[in-house]
Amino acid sequence: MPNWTSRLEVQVGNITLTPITSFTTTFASSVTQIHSIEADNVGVIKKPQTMTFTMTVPAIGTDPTKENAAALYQLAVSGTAFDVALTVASGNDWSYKSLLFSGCYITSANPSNVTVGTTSGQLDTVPVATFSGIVTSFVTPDGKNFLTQG
Amino acid sequence: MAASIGANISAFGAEFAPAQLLRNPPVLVGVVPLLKVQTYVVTETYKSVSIPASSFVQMVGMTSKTLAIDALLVGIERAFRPVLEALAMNTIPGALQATSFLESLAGIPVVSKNFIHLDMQITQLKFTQDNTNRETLSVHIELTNVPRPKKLGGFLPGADIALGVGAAFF
Repeated sequence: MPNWTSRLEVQVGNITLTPITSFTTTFASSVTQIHSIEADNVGVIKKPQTMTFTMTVPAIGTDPTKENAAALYQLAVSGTAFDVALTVASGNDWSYKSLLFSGCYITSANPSNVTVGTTSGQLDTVPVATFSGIVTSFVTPDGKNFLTQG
Repeated sequence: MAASIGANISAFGAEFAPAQLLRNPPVLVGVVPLLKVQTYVVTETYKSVSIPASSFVQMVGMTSKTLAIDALLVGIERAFRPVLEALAMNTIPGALQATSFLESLAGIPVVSKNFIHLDMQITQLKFTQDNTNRETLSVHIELTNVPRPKKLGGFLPGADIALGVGAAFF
């Protein structure tokens, strides 16, 4: 029975990314229906599989030993590939120990979205950076590589 | 991999089940059933000829008929590619085989739900494999009508019309 004292963490190149508010990965395995001149849905065609991710990172944190929004933005500007790992920081309630997304490239970044606080009417919220990117290789804990490159 | 091929073969068989063939009648190019035809274009050209030094115009009947078929060969259906190529080769006199004996009399019959064309010969085959459609060949077939000699031409166009009229009621 899980006691839910566990915690996951996101790592970028083996360095813990903190703070982070959301990390979403999408695996698209698209299949298109075929229609003939006589009937609907007579077959399917498989399309290439792709994987993308989105992370939302508050633009705070000056600890040089941690990854943060500024470091990610640097990766985006330089266009270099990096690894992202979702790993267990504590506890043993998770159905996996780690997921490795390697060969990641950032395709779009909102470095610092600032919104006005709804109650105070002042800039009392943390600027938020959003990063979207593609994953070229996805490795599960048992070493299975889902996307071919990498 | 073996499992996926097996699944494809069973799916292929299902496509040829009678109920499925009634639901999705294939376009038959000779012996090849095309189940995933995307476009089927019939181009019929009619010409009239002016008789010199008179006001008369002579209708000369249908001058040419060409077919352009775009279809998809998915999975195991790609095995039809050599058969289509064989059909095309048979239109070369030197390559005539025993199997092409009927074809030499009546050309390649192309039968769909709405059209029946006899005396057709393949003029172009184009197979495209691309990086967006996995395990798929898209095939472009062009056929042209080659009328038979008079001896046979007497009844074959009649057969064409009779088949065509009959098929319209399917």
